Amino acid sequence: MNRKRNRLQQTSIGAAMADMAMLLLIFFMVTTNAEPPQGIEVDLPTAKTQENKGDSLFITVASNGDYYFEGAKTDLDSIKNSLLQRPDDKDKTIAISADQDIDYAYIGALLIELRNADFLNVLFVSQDEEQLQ
Amino acid sequence: MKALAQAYKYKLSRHKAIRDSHLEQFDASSIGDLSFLLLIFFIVTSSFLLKQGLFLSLPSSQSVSQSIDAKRVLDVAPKENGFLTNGTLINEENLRKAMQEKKEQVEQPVILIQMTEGVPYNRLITLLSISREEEINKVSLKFK
Repeated sequence: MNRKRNRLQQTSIGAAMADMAMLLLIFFMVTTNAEPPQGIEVDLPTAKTQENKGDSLFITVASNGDYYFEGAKTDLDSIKNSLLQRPDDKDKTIAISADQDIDYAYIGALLIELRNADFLNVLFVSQDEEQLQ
Repeated sequence: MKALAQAYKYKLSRHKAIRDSHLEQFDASSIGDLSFLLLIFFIVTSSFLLKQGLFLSLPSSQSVSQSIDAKRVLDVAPKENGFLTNGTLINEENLRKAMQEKKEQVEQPVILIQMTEGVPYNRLITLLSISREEEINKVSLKFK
């Protein structure tokens, strides 16, 4: 009788654990972002890269010179204003994903605005040479 | 006839009992294992929203200009078909050599990158990548 009760208890604990695992699994599947907010696909340059482990804000510069901040199309002034409204995020890295063939003038202008907004940590997002090989 | 009905009833009840025992014995541990494996996968990957690239620390807008010994500076202007150094257009291989020579000549060399309008962005990335490979970490970026 006791053995049967123990077996039943074990089964119920296992079922509860499986339920919990399923719930957590669904939560993580829903909340996980596989890709950062880019806004548009760009052809990234290739370099010997480093990994950015901290939090980032994402800016994309498309091949036609359009700017995207956190996935939304915008312009340089709006980017600067958005950044000025986020004084707590100054330690975050600004990850710039720009099309490899774009005129540097677009990047230069962006860097000037970042500097004016006092966001000084920049990551030029690139494809890793070794991974491509 | 009654006996036959009883036998059929017994057979049905027996079949039900066997089916129930099968249901009771259904093993959920494999589902639990699989769920946990997937759970661990998502926990690990969700914290890896990483981006790879090249870091650059911009100078603060309040910072004052610094003077650097001209001997420490390697002046490089990326162009579409090479890198302009001391008035000479060189390729990647020769740029690496120039960097290595500079490293041998002085301690903590600085690369002064002179970007101009019309130069593709990937030329800057190539130059930053080379300087990183050659372990020259001090870079000054100038945009005309």
